[in-house]
Amino acid sequence: MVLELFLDLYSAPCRAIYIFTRKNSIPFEMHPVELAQGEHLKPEFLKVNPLGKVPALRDGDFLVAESMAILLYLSHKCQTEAHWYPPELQAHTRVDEYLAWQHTAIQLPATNVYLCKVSLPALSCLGRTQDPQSWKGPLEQLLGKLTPALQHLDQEVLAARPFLATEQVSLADLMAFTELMQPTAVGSRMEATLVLQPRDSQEAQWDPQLAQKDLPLPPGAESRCSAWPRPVPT
Amino acid sequence: MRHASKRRAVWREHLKPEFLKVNPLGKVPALRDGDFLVAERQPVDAVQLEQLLGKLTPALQHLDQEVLAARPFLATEQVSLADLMAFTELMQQGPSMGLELYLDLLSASCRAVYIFARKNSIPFDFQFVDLLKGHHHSKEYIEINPLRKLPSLKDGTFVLSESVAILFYLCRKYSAPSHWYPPDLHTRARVDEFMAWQHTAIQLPMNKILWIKLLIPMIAGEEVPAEKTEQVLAEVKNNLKLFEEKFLQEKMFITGDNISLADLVALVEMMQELEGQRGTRRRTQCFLVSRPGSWMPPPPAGLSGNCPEASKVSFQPKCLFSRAPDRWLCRAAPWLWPVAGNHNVFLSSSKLAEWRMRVELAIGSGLFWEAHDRLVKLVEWDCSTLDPMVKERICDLLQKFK
Repeated sequence: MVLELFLDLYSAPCRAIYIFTRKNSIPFEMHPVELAQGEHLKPEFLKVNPLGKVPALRDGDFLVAESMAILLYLSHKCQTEAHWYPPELQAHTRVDEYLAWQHTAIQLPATNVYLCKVSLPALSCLGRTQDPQSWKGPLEQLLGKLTPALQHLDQEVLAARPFLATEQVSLADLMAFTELMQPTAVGSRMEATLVLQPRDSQEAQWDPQLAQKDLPLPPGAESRCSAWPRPVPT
Repeated sequence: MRHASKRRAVWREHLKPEFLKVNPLGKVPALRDGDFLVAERQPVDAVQLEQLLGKLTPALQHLDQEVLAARPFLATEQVSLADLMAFTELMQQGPSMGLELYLDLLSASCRAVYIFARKNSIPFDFQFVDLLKGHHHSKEYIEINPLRKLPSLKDGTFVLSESVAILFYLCRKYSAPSHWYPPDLHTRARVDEFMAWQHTAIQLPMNKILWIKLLIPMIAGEEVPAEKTEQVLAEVKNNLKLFEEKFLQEKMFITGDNISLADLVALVEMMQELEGQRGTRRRTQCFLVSRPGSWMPPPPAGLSGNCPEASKVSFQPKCLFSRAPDRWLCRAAPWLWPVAGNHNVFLSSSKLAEWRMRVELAIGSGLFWEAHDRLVKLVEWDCSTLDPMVKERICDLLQKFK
């Protein structure tokens, strides 16, 4: 029975799982879940994940949510290459450390920056105007929560090694990369983009690892992939 | 002079022929395991330490989980020769062979690591980092963890933060019993799923309650607006409902019949909310519902009306009360405490209350309450000793809630 993944590629953790499964040629069936249409709160989806969040995975009768759990499940079940989650104790502990830390240090503020910049101004039902200036104060505050974490990654973690956890790309880098695309893609001015400007040594390592354009799309993905990026619904 | 020469003779035993057969280098330590001889500290430590600890650990676990669970001292209800021998013997173990845990038991994450390490008899040096005095911002601590957060682990040169990662590391390195982090793919995924979800769904809101209901009013002298408080309480209530429906369901523990890391982390974090809901600096009064067959003091007059839901809780283990002094009685049945705001996470659901009890018993009530002692005493804390920098940050936090 093929794996089923319930994803909305607007969501960074969903993108991490999508990239991971495609990169490792794990066969799966994609079920798009439109967050903007509230599909994650509808009864059909809540049977899959009562927490009402994407991503979610269904493997026969087994249902699991949370991107960290799904990535670890897939890496163990499908026996992906060791560098994604190294077998050595200290090496995979570093991946665990990043995956635990990033929930509140990166994911939460990065999502809030994205919402503040894009989604909330478009939703006039909240009573605020669409004037971008009215969102400037909250945006600066949210960026203020994200910036120290990024500085830590830039000045302490990446000063010591080429990737976030070990000497090779791992689940930690994948999660970080997709997460930080969230505020960057909407044009947020932040010093943190220093992290995403490839250093000389990293550039050669990133491109061959992640840029493969010849993988076939999984079932259900064609219509979603061609629609990126799409305008915010009004 | 006679005594001095006797001492000198004792000192030179490492140079005597009998010892030189063991270690020709004439140095201590040295180890002989059958025909295998090894000297020099490092290989003795590295090669043999695991074996030696493996022989010691089951005995310590027996003492910890069986003997000391039944009585306060090894042999009887009072200190005896048995305790004296054990204490001095275990002091020989000396420092923890390099494992240091930087903790303040006010933090739920620190308590989870502390309880796990103690429960599994993992030797470690407890390095107290006082959050209330701002020690996590000191230069010494920033060298350990530049993020200034607790807990941290230092194992030789390997430094680790994040309680979830520390728990997984300790589990694997010290080969903890498999029920803590089961090897089965699906069961392990369930633990991973909870550990990921709890960061924002349980830990964050539970800590907010502690701040909003207890710490901010105590330190800043001002209450957080009621609207904000109600919002956070609603989030907590919703997430606890999800916890019961998705993670606990009808099982004894999250993964089934045995406690795991997920239950430990869940419970210590819910205790933050409970402590926050005590709300004031006066000592919380407690009362116990009497039940046929178990000895319990009758409820103090006038208090029985404060907590009507308590009568719905049916599970009342006798062992908590059989030998406990008064202060234990106050802590033994926290799900029965009357609380401010008419909301107590364990009163709202008997399923949660029973799960809570099972987790406490699986950990061991003595260890559980020892770990929560600092949190429980927080209401009595004299906040004039608070570090001024920490106080300023708390007042800034209050502004954000307004």
